[in-house]
Amino acid sequence: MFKNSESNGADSANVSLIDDQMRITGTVVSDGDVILAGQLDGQIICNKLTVEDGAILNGSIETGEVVISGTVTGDVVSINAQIEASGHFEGDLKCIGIEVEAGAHVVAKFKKAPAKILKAAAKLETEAD
Amino acid sequence: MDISKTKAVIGEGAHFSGTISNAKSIEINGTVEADLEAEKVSIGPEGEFRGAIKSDLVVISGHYHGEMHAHSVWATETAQIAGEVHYQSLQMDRGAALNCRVVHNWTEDTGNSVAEPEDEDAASDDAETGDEAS
Repeated sequence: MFKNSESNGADSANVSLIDDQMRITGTVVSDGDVILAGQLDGQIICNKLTVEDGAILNGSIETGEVVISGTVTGDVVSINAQIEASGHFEGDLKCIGIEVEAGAHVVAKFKKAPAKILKAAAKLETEAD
Repeated sequence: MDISKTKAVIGEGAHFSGTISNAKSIEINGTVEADLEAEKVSIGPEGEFRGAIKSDLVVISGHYHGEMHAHSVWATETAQIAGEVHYQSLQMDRGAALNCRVVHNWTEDTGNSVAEPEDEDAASDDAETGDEAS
């Protein structure tokens, strides 16, 4: 399900946006990208997740790529994770690539990425070749 | 990203289940099972929504199944609606399929409503569609 973000990054029809007023509880599953600007309690499974500055996420994340500028509490399973300077993260990181910008607040356990993430990453690599 | 930050969008291919609150304007092009309160709800042609809606304005071009309370309801030509619709004004385009209880209710705000049930049966093949999508 994790696609190369360049191949569909411009396709706005596949983007889900949770605006800054909105608060949702539950599970979001998407083949496309999700931008979270509001609050979500629950689970997100998608291709690329962007947690905007000011957004709050409590729960688990399973993505190909995640960019955290807001506050995330929970587990992240992803190929690549990027935590921006404004980002707050507490939980477990099970990723292959991790980037933490100076100033970010990170309290995390770094764990080995699960097999399906390794597989998805390997697939992306072969696609890129 | 050029999408306005004040409008929530559930994109095509997205599945959401849970509750949504505090939404201003929400556009649904994916599949949503939720209870929703919002000022404006728009269900796109590919969108599917199951659950209760309370809203000022609901525009339906896709599938809806549930109980809806809305001031204004607009069912476009591709709309397929099942369940119950409480409205104060309803616009229905030619081709819209309503297989539901439709209640016109002027006094909903006061609580002691004198509902006027009125049946609107559009010929449709959709009576049972999607009743059991998992």
